[in-house]
Amino acid sequence: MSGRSGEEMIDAYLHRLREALRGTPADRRDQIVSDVVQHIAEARAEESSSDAATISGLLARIGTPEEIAAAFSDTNGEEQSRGAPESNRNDQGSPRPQSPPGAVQWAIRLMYGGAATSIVTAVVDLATRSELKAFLKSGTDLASRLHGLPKLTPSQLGSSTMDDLVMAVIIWALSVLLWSLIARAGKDGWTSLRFAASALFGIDTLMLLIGPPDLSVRGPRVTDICPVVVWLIGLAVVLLLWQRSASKFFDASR
Amino acid sequence: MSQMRRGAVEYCVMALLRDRDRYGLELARTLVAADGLVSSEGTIYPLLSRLRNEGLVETFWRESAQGPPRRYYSLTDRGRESLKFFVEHWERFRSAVDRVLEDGAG
Repeated sequence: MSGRSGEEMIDAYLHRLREALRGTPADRRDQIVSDVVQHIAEARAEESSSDAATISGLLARIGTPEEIAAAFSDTNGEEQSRGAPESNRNDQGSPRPQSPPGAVQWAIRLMYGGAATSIVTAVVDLATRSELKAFLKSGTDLASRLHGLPKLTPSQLGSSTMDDLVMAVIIWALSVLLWSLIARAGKDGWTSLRFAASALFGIDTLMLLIGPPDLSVRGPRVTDICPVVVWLIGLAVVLLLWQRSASKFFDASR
Repeated sequence: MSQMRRGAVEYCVMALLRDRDRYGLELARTLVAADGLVSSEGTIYPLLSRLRNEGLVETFWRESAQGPPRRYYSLTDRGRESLKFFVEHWERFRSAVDRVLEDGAG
């Protein structure tokens, strides 16, 4: 290495490292090389000199590229040859499913967020039923005065709001259940998760288009805004689940 | 023995991250200083890469007062659970081995 500058030595080292890691998955190789580049930068910042002797000592402490490649084989190669490492096996000795990538983990968190949003909407919706009853009463009174239509009796009004209440409870319970089920299935590595989530998102989009919230009459309310929030969460979930890292994970889980 | 050491090192890394986040150089030097845990500083990066891929640790950048921004490693909830599981089983395993070694010596 004599005669070369510190920079040249680092370039040559990194070139050898890439060569030694050839045959490893590209994303893992890039990650390790990036980590080593970062390590060198941090170690150099602590040194008072950047001469060849200092850099040589620094690179010697990091270890040879071949040592790092061997460490990769130790920690990952065994995983490939045995199916899964010991640390990745459960008590019964069977391999644990591979951990989902960040995109899938975020999608799962968002699904639980969707379930929570549905619960909040349901609670607010149920709490404002008396307001709805008053709104219906004033509406029918107005229709009666202007158009001579018969007023709804208190029992008709009660029955109407009760039907509405039952329907709302069913819809919101179904929504919470679906969000929770697909989040749970995603955690367990269900390979059809993307298709199920996309289909449900399609249904949600149709429902939103068919019955969009009417913000013009009474102004936006929590129960009007929440379906839009839930739709946006659904959109984010679908986008995350169709990312390349997620696709690789689901393909590998088949 | 080397297999046992390899298996234990990943939990040593997670144990170092249990109480606070650390950057790569710091982790590497601590493990090199711990007698024989890793042979050289760079050999921890394949392990850190695997732990990241398995969602046991995650990384973020933080400014440094003396040099470039540093990539810090932190333990995820999944990593914390995995470490807890290991510690419980390790203590039982170590006690069992100690008992056999002491009985054998006696």
